Amino acid sequence: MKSLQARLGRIPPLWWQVGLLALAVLLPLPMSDYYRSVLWRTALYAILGLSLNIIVGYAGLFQLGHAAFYALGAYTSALLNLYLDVPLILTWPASVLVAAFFGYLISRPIIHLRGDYLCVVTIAFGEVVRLALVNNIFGITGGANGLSGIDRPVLFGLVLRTPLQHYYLVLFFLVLTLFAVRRLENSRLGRAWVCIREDETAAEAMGIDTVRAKLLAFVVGSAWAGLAGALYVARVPVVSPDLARFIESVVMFCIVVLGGTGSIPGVFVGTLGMVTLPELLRFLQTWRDAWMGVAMVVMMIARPEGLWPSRRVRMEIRGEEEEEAGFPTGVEEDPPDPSSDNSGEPDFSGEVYQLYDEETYLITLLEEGPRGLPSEGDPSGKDAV
Amino acid sequence: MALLELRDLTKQFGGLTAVDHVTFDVHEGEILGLIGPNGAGKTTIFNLITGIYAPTEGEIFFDGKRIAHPPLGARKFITPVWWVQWLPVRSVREQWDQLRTLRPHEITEMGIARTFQTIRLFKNMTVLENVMAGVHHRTRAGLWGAIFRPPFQRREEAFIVSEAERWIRFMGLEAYRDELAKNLPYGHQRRLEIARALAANPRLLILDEPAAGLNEAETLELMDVIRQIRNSGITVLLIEHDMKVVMGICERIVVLDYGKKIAEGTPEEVQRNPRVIQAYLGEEEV
Amino acid sequence: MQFLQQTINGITIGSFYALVALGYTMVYGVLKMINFAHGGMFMWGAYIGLTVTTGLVALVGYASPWALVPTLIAVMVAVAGIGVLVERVAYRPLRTAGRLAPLISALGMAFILESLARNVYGASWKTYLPGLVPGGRVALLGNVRISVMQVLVLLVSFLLMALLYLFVYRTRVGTAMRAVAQDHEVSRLMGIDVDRIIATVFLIGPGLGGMAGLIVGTYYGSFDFTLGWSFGLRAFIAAILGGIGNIPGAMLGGMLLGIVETFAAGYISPQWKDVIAYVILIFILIFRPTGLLGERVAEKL
Repeated sequence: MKSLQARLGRIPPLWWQVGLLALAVLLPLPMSDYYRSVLWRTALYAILGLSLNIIVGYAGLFQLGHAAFYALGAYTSALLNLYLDVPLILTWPASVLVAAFFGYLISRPIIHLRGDYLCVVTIAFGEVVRLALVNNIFGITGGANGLSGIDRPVLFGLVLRTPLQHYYLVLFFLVLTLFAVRRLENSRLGRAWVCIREDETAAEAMGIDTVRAKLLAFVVGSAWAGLAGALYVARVPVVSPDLARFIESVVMFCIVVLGGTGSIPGVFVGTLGMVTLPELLRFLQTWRDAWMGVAMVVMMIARPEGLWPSRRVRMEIRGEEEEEAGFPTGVEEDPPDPSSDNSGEPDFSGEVYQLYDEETYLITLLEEGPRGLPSEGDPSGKDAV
Repeated sequence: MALLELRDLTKQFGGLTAVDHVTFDVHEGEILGLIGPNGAGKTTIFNLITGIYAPTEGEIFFDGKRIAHPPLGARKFITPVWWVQWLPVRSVREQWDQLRTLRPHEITEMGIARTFQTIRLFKNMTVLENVMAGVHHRTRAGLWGAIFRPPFQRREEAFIVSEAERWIRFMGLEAYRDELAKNLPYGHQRRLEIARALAANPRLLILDEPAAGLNEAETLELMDVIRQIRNSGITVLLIEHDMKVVMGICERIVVLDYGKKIAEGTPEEVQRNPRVIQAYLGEEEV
Repeated sequence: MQFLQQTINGITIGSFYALVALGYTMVYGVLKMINFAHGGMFMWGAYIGLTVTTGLVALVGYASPWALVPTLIAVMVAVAGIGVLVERVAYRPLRTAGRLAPLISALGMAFILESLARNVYGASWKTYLPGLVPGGRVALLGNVRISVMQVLVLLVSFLLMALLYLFVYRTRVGTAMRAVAQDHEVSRLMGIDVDRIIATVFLIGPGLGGMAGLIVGTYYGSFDFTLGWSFGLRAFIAAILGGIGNIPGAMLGGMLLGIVETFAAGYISPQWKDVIAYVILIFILIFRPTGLLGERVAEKL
C-alpha cells in the first residue's frame, strides 16, 4: 500500500494536469498567427522529443538519426496522398507503420552496438535516408526540392487550415503521447528499459531479453517520430529532404539530453530551449547553431544530468541530503576497497564483460557463435595467471 | 540425478586456458562451494554456466537439458548462414536454436540466477525496482499491456510487487524498500543482489563471493540466509574466499587450481588433501 | 586507361581523407572519444588559408604557388591552436565523465566552429585566387594524366604521414603517446604527463587536419561552411574503415575510401558516392567494428 502512495505522490495532483492542459488550450487564443505557429512547432518537437526519449532516455541507446524517421513518416504521408489520393488522415497510420518497419530494419543488425559506435551508425543511416531522398530514389521523392501540392487534412468535414487548428491537432496527439509514455514509464517494459540502461549485463542475467527490449524501444520511438512527420505534412504541405538533415536529429537529441535524459518534464524544458527560444529569436537565425553548440558544451560541463533530471536522479540528490543528516551509508560501514580485497580471479571478468558488451560482440557472434570471446582479444589478466 | 552437470568444460582466451577440462556435478538441494586460489578460473566457470561465455570444449547440462556447448565449427559452418535466425520461418529458427548456445536471459528463464563478484545493481533504481527486475521473466505484459493496462496487466503488476516484497522481507531489507540501490550500505547491497536473484525464482542460485567485503556479523547473517535459501528448496553454488563461510555451510567443495579441478569432497576431505594445501600454501609464498 | 586515371584521382582524394582521419584516430586512441569537432577544425584550415593567401597576395601584389608554403605553416599553427583550445575548454573538464558527455560536448563544439565560420565568412561559396594553384598536367602512359597539383598534394600528404609515423613510432613523445592510449593511470604512474600528451595529440591532429583543409580548398578551388561536416564525416568513416585508434589504419582507410568513392562516382553514379561511403561504414560497423587493421588491440594508436 505504501508503494501506491509513493506512486501517487509522484504524479502531480489532478488539478495540476488539468491546469496545464487548460493553459495549453487557452494560451494560443490571444496570440497572433505567428506565435501560434511557434506553439505548433513546440508541440510537434515535444512529440519528437518524447519519442526519442524512449530510445535515448529509457533504453539508453544513442540514436543520432531520429530525423530520418520523422522524414520517412512525412514522405509516406505525402506520397500516399499525392500518388494514391488517400485522404491525409488515413495516411497517418501508414506513416507510423512505415517508420516502425524501417526502425526495425535498421536497428536489428546494429542493436548489439553500444555507445559511440551505435551513435555513428545511426548518423550514417540518417544520412543515407536523406541522400536517398535527395537522389530521388525510385523517381518518386522529387529530389532535393521534395514534394508539394499535398492536400489539407479533413477532419469530420472540417478542412484544417489555420495555425490554431493545427496547433490543437498536434496538442491532441501530444496529450495522447504523454498518456502513453507515462504509462510506459511505470510498466514492466519501462522498467526493463531502465535496467538495460543501468547495467545491461545484469539485466540480461536477471532474465530480461535485452535484444528484444532494445528493439522494441527503437521501433516504438521510430514509429512515433513517423507520426510526428505526418503531422508536419498536415500543416506544411511541402516535404523536402531537409527534414532528415543531421541538424534536426541533433536538435531532437539535445531536447532529450539537455532537458534531462529519461525525464518527461525535461523533454518540455529541452524543447523550449532548443526549438521555441531559437524560433522566437529569429533575427539571430545564423547564430542558432552556435547557440546550440554552446548550450551543449556548457551543459555537459556544468550540469550533465540535464535541466530537469528524471525522478531517479532527483531522488539521488535527495538521498545525498539524507546522507548528511546521518543516514547510514556504505561509507561508514568500512567500504570494501577493491584494490585491497584480494578475492577472486585476476580480474578479467570486468575486461571481458566490457568486451562482451561492446563492439566485439558481433564479431564474436560471427566467428564463434553467439557467445564467447574473440580469439584475438586476449584478456589483460593473462600474465597474472 | 544431478541438477547441474559440467562435463569436460574448457575455456580458452587466446592462448590462456582459464578452465581446463573441469567435470563436476551439483546435486539438487545441496550447497556446493567452488574454491581455489586467485586465477583458478572460478568466475569463468560461473560465466560459462550463465551463458556469458561459450565453452571452448565440453558441455553443461541443467536438469538434463544441455545449456552450453562449444559453438559448432563456427567459422566455417555458421558464418555464412547466421542471418537465417532472422527468417520468419519457425522450423529454420528452431534449427538455428540447436546450433547456437543459449543467451544469458534464456538460462535465467530455465532456473539459474546469479549474483556478481563486483556488485552489479541497477544503481539508480530503488530497492523495490531492483527486485522487481528479477520477476521480469516470469511475467508477460508488453507494449500494449503497458499502455492500455488491461486487467491481466494489473494483476501481473500486483504479482510483481508482492513477489518482490516477499524477497525483500526475506532478505530483511524492508526498511530500505524505496531507497536507491546505490545509497544502501555495502552489506545491504550484497543482500539486495541476492534478493534480486531469488526473485527470478531459480532452482539453482549461483553466488559469486557473497561474503566479500562483509564484516564478521554480516558474514554470520549471510551464512544463515544461505542455509535458509537451501532449506526452501533452492540449490546453491557459491564461490567464496572466506574459509569460515565455505567450511561452515558447504556440504561439498570443489577445488580448482590453474583451471583444473584438483579436489572434490566434503570440507574435511578437502582440508586434508595435500594438493589443496600445496595450492594454497604455494600461493602464500608468492 | 580510365581505370588508371580513376585510381590516381582516388589516391589523391584518399590522401586528404587519410590526413583528416589521422586526427580522428589519434584522438580516439588517447581519449576513446569521437572528436566530432575535428571536421570543423579542418574547415577552419581552409578558411584561414583563404585569409592568409588573400593577405599575402595583397601584400606582394601577384599570386604565386609559392605563397602556399608560408600559408601551410600559418594554417598548421593556427588550427593546432584551435585544437588545443577546444581540448582545454570542451574536453578536459569531461575527462572522467563517461562517454556520453564528451560526445555531446564534441558535437556542440562542431556546431560552434561551423556556425562561427558561417557568421565570420558568410554562407556563400569561397574561392581561392586562381594564380595560387600550380597549373599544368603531366602525361603518364598516353591518355592518363596527372596534374602538377596532384603531384604536389600527394608529395605533401605522404611526407606528412611518413613524418607522423616516424614521430609516433620512433620518438620518446610518440612512445608516451602510445602508452597513454593504452592506459592513462599507468602512464601517469610511469611519469608521463598525460595532460601534456593529450594536448600534443590535439596539436598534431588538428594541425594535420588544418593543412588538409588548405590543400582540399586549393585542390577543389572553392568550398563553403558545410565542408567540415560532409568531408569530416567521410574522413571519420575512413578512420573506422582502417580501424579507429590505429595510425597506419587511418592512412589505409583513407586511401581505400578515396579510391572506392572515385570508382563509385565514375562507374556507378556520382550522386550515390556519398551513400556508398555511408553504406561501407554501416557494413564495417556491423561486421567488423574493429576495422581492417584494428584487430590487435595492443597496437592502438
